[in-house]
Amino acid sequence: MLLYLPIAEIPVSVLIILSMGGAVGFISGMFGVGGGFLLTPLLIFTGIPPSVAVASVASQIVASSTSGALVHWRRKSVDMKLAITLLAAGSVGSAIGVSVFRYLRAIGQLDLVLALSYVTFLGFIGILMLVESLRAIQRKRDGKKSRTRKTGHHNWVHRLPFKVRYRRSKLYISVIPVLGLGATIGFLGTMLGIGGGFIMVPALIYLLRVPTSVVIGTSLVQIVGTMAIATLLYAVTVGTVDVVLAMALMVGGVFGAQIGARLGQSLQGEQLRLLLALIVLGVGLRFLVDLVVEPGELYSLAILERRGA
Amino acid sequence: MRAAEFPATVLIVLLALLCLSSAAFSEELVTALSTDQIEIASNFDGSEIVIFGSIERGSAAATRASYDLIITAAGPLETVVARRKERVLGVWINQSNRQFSDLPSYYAVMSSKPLDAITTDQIADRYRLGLNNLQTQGARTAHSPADDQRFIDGLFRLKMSENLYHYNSDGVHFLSPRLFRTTLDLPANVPVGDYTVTINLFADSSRLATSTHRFRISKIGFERATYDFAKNQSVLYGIATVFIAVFTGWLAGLIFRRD
Repeated sequence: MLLYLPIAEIPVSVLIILSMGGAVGFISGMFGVGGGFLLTPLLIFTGIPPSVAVASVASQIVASSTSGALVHWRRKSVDMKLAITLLAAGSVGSAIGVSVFRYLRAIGQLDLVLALSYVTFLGFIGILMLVESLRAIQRKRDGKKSRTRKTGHHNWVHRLPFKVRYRRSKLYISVIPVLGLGATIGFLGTMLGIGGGFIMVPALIYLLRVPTSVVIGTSLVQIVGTMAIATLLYAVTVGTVDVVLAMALMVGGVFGAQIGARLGQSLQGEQLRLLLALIVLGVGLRFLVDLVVEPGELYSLAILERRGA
Repeated sequence: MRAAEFPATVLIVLLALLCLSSAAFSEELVTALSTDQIEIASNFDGSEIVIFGSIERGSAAATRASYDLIITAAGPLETVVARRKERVLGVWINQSNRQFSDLPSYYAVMSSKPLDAITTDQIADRYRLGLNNLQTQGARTAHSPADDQRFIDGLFRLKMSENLYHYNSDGVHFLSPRLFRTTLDLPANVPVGDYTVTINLFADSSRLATSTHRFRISKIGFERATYDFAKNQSVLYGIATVFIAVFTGWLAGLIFRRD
């Protein structure tokens, strides 16, 4: 059955969109990740224009992160002060991301930069995850216990000026790395159509030494806010947010996430992480292949202006 | 003839001559479209329009071996940039480009025979019939006509692969020597706007008659409302989309919450 997307102006198969949203939602529910980094590439691979894919996935990330953020907020496992600071910086980063996006689109190099960024980002994260999960499997086989990180242990970041107290995280830390992190995640997340939780959570834990009890909740709140700003900016500037596509993705994603969350509890963590690492590397590899292999059609068309509509 | 009947006879002869002169055309086209409105709803997957008509022969019509028709349909004009990928440092990147202004976003040519079997190139060019006669002048730079041609070929190839540019040299069918019809195929990604259909009647390489029709393709209902909302009230649309997202996330948490 076909669904005509009013903003993208192309029909898509409802089944394919629901399945994609469901599959990515499944992965997100199982691993506790946003899933944007898989959903945006998948949409691009099935022929949806990148500008529509990135902008519409931004709104879907708002939906998928909201339910998690609400759960954490009710449990009070969110450092709101930290989240809002990250969010404020994230909005600025997001605005910069949208301008860069528009510029690249105008000069016809958006696809290239997206592909290069995805290869780099997914390749890097994928290899990190692969190494981490293989080590974890090895440690489990050897019967060793996993090392506990020491929160509150100071590193170079803690020696920067303009310190602010974040009571909930029991942190007294300079606001500079917080703003820098928020802005970077906001910029990357907006331009690539990803939530950024992938980078945010490890950065909060290792760089800022935020306790693990509030890390995920804080990160989710920041993602909801930043992606909401990104959606608004995309709608107002390039106008490629397709609400019908976003809603179809949300529906599939929500159901998939529920199944994934339930299933994820009964399977082994380390092997799942290995599987995810392989999926991430696979998607990155696909982008690389598309970049390096001579394309079948060297020419492409972009419509600059259409009259009489 | 008696003197009294003379004026009556002259009158009758004059009337007869008048009637004959009003029928002294050679050929005329009487044509119609099956519809002049195509509406894009949520399950739109392309459509088609039937163009049909008859050739009326007047008293001045010469005997013709056969008639031929060239029918064109042109969609709203657009400005397009064609880009070509080249290999830079191992990666395929968009490098050179050409801009085409005021090209039809959709252009179909249907004829009863191949165009060069119906008329000469000069005449086809004069009436702008045929894909080659689309105005691609603007894209021609002074220094590399061969390269310009490659871009033009690329443009046509891409448009034809999407069925937006279409040439069917066997597309017009004659149901009888003077009754014809053709079907215009509109693909799923057909652009919205006003279209012009021109029907040209040919015989012995010259154009005898022409007729024009218009039709419109528009989004309706929900699709149109959404599109207009997104275009004209983009801020509200963005806020509404965010609201829908937050609401969906909240609702999902509510439905699936396990206490």
